[in-house]
Amino acid sequence: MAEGTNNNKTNSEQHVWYRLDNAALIYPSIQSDRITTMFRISMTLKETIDPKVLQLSLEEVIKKFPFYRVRLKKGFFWYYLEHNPKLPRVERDVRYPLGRLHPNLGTRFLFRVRYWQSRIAVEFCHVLTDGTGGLTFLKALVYEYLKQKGKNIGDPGDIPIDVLTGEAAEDAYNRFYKSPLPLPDKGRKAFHLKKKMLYPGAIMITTGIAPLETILSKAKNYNVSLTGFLVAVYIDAIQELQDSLVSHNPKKRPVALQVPVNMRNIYPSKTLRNFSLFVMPEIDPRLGKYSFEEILQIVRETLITQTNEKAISKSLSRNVGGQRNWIIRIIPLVFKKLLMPFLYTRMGENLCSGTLSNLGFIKLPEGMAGEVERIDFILGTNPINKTGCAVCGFNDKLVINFGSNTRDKSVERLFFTRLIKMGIPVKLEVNEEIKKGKA
Amino acid sequence: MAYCVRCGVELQKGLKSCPLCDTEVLLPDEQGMEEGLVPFSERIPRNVRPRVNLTPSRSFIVLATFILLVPLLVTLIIDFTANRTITWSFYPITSLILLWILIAYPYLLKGHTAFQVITMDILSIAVFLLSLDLYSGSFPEWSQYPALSLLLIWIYIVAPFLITWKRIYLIIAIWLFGTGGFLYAIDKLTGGRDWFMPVGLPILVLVGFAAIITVISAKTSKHKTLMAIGTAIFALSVLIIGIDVVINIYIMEKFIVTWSPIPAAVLIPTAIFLIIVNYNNDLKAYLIKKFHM
Repeated sequence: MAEGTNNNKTNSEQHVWYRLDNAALIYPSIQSDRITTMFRISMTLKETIDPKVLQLSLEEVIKKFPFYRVRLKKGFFWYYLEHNPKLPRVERDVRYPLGRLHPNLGTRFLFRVRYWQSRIAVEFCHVLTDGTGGLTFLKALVYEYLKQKGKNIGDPGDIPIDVLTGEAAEDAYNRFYKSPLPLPDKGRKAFHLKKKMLYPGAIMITTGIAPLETILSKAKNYNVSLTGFLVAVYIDAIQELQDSLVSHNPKKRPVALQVPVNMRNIYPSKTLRNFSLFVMPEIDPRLGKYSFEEILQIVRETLITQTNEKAISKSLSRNVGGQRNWIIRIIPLVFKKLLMPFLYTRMGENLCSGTLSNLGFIKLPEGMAGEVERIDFILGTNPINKTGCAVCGFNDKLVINFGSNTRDKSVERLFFTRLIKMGIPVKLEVNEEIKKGKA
Repeated sequence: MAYCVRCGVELQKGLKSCPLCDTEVLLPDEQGMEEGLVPFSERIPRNVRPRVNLTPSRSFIVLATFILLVPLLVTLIIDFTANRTITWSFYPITSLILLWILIAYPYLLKGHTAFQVITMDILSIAVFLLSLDLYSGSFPEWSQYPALSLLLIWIYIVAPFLITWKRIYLIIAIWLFGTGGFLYAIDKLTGGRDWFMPVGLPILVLVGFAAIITVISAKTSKHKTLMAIGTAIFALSVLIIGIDVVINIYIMEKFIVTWSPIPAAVLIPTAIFLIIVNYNNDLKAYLIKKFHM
């Protein structure tokens, strides 16, 4: 039995299998009704979607991504991904996207393709890939769809058209691992909003659409990147929220944001599996109230000092080192599974008050860009940090999506009203209107 | 275009209040309610429960066979070289064979039903116990008791498989006859003073009556849960008093009640209260209001 498609000696698709990449190792053990470990990217086209054509396009595109045509299996020591002989099927979109995958993961795909009106959405489980991989897959799918619809969309640009193998399927974390480095800081438990959650599976999506030009020039005025600007606004919003709930300064908790960094920009890898890590800009409100300018400065410096190769290799080394530790390797999966949720809360979610993931400005090939109206990026929720923010830019718009598993929208309100006060107009959309008296 | 007067955000068409601050929209733009402009579908995903598949795969059976084969051969060889025959290794070997049957049987029987698997599992455990007893000397010494118990468990499990729950009275009858037969056999096998006819059978009959009354009340009073629970509690208290009387007749040869009034004093008022609540709508509404959670 061969691992990956590279050294496939049996030549039979059935025996193709993949190790989980380093970041994916934790997700199968923690996923539940509450922690869905999913994210979603969608493209809104200019005309209504034809499901039959979309199905045909999906069957065509999945052949090019053999490492996504997999199902999750249990080994004795680790989970692994195995070739799935079935074909994925498109399905109609739902009110509450990003619900957990079907519980019988052993036979199902780890992603979903959903359509509704003029929108095509892919929802990926983090076991498979991160935002970059999901976006590449969606681009290829929409490209194929438009091609099959008979549109003249021209050159595919950076969209893959051949079967992807080798580097695209590699676990880049392991490739760039350096022998043990000093451990990163443990961090402290951050502020979390405590609110009643919705029933499992429900998600409140609040979308704010702002003109890209205005928000970019605003960020330029403050001399930060767009991500830095949004992170600062978010931290400021959470600071105000904590101030309104906790009046005594020494009792306040740090406000930290998890900001995913695309490691492909730091290391030369073209992988389409997971390859991102986090940096955490953080303020400590026990020291007093921070002005927006002070927050901006902290965020700017954190983003610069923590995203260089040296600093980020510390967390990479810790994560991969854990995976390579032989004591951990010989623990059977049944026991590892019990340990994982603890690691997830202790080393991940507890340390931050929220996540802000910026997919960046998305470029499409010229012929294709004219057919696409809008691109959305949404993160799934988890019980500790109830709200997550995902941002992406396309054409002249910046789409900011908050996904939340509580009816309380104070974070969203504080965030968007800040933008309005700075003179950035925001258009708001929701997936469900809150009924009076239910809040 | 509608704006929230408090937050200043532009609002999606058709919203009646601002999603952020709940302020009412002054001039809601009703046009957007038409289909085609709502940002999300109305479809709500169905909640699926995981299905557990207990049939092992072929590869797993092969793996398990070889893993079990190793200790089997090792014990056999050690025993045989020392004693030139099979002595103590009979026990580990039969245990390993039993384990293999329990693991592999669901796969070996292609297209099996749960009924067949359970039957085979119980049968092989019973044969295993009987063979141990037979091998260790005077037979039957102890193994008849677990074997009979396994037979009774088989009857309990299998009756609902072969007869649908629609014929629940037949299932209850089979369970009662099975239990009766089991108790009679144990009584005869152990010897000593007879206890089946004076104690076992009367209690069994009482249990049967209580079960049938409970089922009848549950079936006739659908959507009247309190009524059904009340009747069941009532039947339970009658059963408790009956058990008390039967035991007293057996031990003291007198028709008296001793301890059973205490549980009955708890159960009978509870049952009456539930039945009253079931018929009194005012009381029911009051209780729901006071104790809502």
